[in-house]
Amino acid sequence: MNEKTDEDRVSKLLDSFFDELQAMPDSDVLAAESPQAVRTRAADRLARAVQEAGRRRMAAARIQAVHVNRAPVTPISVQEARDYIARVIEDRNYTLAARQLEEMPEAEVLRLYQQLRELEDDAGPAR
Amino acid sequence: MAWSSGDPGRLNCQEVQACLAQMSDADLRRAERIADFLARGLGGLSGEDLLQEACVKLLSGERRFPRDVYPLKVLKSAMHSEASNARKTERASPVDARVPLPDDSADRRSPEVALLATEQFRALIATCSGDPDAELVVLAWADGLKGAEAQEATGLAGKTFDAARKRATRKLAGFEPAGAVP
Repeated sequence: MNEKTDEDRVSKLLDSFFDELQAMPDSDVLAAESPQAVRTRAADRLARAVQEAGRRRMAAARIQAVHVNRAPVTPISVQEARDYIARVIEDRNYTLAARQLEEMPEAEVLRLYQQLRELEDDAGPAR
Repeated sequence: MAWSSGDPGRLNCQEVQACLAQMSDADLRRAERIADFLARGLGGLSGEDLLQEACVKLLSGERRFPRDVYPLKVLKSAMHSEASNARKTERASPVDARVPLPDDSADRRSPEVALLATEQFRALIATCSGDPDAELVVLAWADGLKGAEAQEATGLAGKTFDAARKRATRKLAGFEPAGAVP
């Protein structure tokens, strides 16, 4: 297909061009340009790039911090989770009978605890 | 964004900065010439833009800078990817912005990418127009041929091929104006 062919040709041409450019003597590469001008441009470019990279890293760190703050909940025992759920149910008037909570499998208790903690983090602390 | 201390095979941010700062003047110039090579036919994007963005991505950790690899080679790969991404971004834009196109259709993008790749290739070939021998060399390289194979494909004699090869490199690098008669 034409698309692949021309992209592929450009890539292959780039490879050969790169090899030839590397083999070209430094004096020829710099023949029409003052090394000082090249160095100055490169220093300016690097300074701008460092600044922009820092800005992007900072933005990424902020996003990551939001996720980190939300995700992990301190591990607790099943009984502590049951107690917490019972308190939240009472405070927030959620519908869950005490017996249901008692009979709930441990894995389900911990899952519900996790969900409630996330909800409570958004809505404000339970008592 | 991915700086990972668990990847000893990559340079960290300070090392990348030091590595780029320590490049020789000639290699810095080579990087600029490669950037211009890759920017040919990419409307709205200069070689300097490509080079700058490649540096930013290497410094920010978005792109990996492998340890013990020639920095110019790393820059070349990074800029090549940037140019490829630029083509994909351009292809994602409808030719006529007033005509809505389905988001999930790959078919709508292919002709535009093909056109951009073709334009880039033609722009590169055009640097040697007016110099038939240099153009033959470039076409051989584009077919993936190197050294003796490339020479055989061009049908040029040894010294003529070598001279054409050097001119082709200088024209692709922008050291000689396009169309100059040998």
